[in-house]
Amino acid sequence: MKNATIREFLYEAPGPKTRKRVFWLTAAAMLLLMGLLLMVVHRFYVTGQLSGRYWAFFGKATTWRFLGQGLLVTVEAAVTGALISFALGFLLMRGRLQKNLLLRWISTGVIEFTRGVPTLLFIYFFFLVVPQTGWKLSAFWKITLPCAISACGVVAEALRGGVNAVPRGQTEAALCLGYRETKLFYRIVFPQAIRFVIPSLIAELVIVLKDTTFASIVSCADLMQNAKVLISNYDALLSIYLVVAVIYILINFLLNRLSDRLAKRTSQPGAAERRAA
Amino acid sequence: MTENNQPVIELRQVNKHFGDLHVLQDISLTVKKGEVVVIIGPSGSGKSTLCRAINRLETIDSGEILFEGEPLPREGKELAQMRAKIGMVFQSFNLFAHRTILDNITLAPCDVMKASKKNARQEAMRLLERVGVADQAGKVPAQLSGGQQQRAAIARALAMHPKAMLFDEPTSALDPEMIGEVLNVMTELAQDGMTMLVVTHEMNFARRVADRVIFMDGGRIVEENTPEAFFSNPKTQRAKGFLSSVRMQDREL
Ligand SMILES: Nc1ncnc2c1ncn2[C@@H]1O[C@H](COP(=O)(O)OP(=O)(O)OP(=O)(O)O)[C@@H](O)[C@H]1O
Ligand SMILES: [Mg+2]
Repeated sequence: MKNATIREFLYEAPGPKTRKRVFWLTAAAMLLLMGLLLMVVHRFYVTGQLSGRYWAFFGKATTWRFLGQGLLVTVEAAVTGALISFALGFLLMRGRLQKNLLLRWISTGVIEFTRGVPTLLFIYFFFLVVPQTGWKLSAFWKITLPCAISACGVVAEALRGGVNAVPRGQTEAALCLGYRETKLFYRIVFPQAIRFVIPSLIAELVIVLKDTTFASIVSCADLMQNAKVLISNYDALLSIYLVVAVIYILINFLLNRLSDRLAKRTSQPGAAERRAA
Repeated sequence: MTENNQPVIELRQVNKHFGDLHVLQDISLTVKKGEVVVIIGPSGSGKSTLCRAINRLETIDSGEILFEGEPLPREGKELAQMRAKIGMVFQSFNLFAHRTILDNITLAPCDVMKASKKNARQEAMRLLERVGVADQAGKVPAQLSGGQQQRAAIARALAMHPKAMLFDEPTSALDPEMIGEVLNVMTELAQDGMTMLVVTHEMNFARRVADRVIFMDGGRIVEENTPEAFFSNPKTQRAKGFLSSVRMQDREL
């Protein structure tokens, strides 16, 4: 099964009859989709959403520059937030796997808490409660930190799953060679665990990215917030939301592709080594 | 074979339970320097547990295990240093899946013994040469056959310059045509004077290479003898039964 993807592993190759059925089902689905699309465009036309005044400003460079600035902030916030959540998640995972009971309890508590509380509550906490303590945070951190905190518990559990998926024999072999716990973890177990969890980590990055759309609450000028400004400037709700939605979809699509590629590359042990050779 | 009366591995009255199951019952056993001791016995008789206890992969309930005359340390740095002196070869190889064969051999010498990368590599290539998988050095374990993996695993253990080697059914997971190549490596190792404790179902290997055969059943050492005496004239009924069932299987193959 060295080069097989999970799909090939789970399903046998389709025979001629199955292929025919798949073809007709695909065709029917395409027709249905196109019909729906036509209906939407028709509704747009009937309600006047296609009229020039809702779209003309997309011809101006300033519109795109403004959206671009927002996009940049969104990406910055998402990447920073995700990196912080990976770091926190890693610490929590280490904590949860410790022998020390207190550390384990604290980590488990934090993990369950952050997993249970909706992101929006963390954002309101940073928006409303934190400033009252005198801790001055920029709008950027007011959205990035809560998104990171909200994600770190999930990250910790994903990492723990990866660590537990590494076969026990790997640890035993290393123990027999004289490895001690810490080095064993960083040299033998974690490098193997990380391969299992890259897809989950990228999925979490997508979630953080989507969570940053709450940035307008703390008036951080991300893509969504700038879109809202445009909407009030041009009084054009639908066209702008549509374009912004397409941008979000595009980014997440690219991230998912990246995740697939990384997963494929790392699921074949040695692929990286072979390339290097 | 270097005969020297110094005990390397010594078990005294060792007992171990898994819940209600008494897996090791008053086990006493000595392996002297340069000696090859083969343990045989039916499935579930406690052979693996015995092997793993010597490396403290399993703790024991009572009794004593000594290595080179010193009791096994219970934890920490001392335990790790002791383990490094005892090579272990597993039924399922357990090569590090994320590293090349060469890395598998050099990793522990560099990380644990602080060997220099260059020396570790040279020594690793020598060892891989010795077990006959030097041409696979750049591949990862999954790309090798079972026999090649097991030979590489033996090389990995040897890289730590162990004072004794434990083998827990090293050929049980292998296709018949690969068993020979692994047994050959083990035979050479024995001839070079390595102290070895081997759990195996390979009766011919036991007959040819072992200095002593230990027959275990139900967590006890039932019989202990030279291979000639044990195979030609087993004393207990249980050993007789076990040997005849093994011979029957061999004929069927
Ligand atoms: N971790 C464990 N927890 C509970 N019971 C165990 C555990 N490991 C082994 N046992 C039981 O202890 C007994 C001895 O196991 P052991 O693996 O030592 O036998 P063995 O002689 O090596 O058998 P085999 O030839 O099948 O490898 C078996 O009945 C087994 O089911
Ligand atoms: Mg066993």
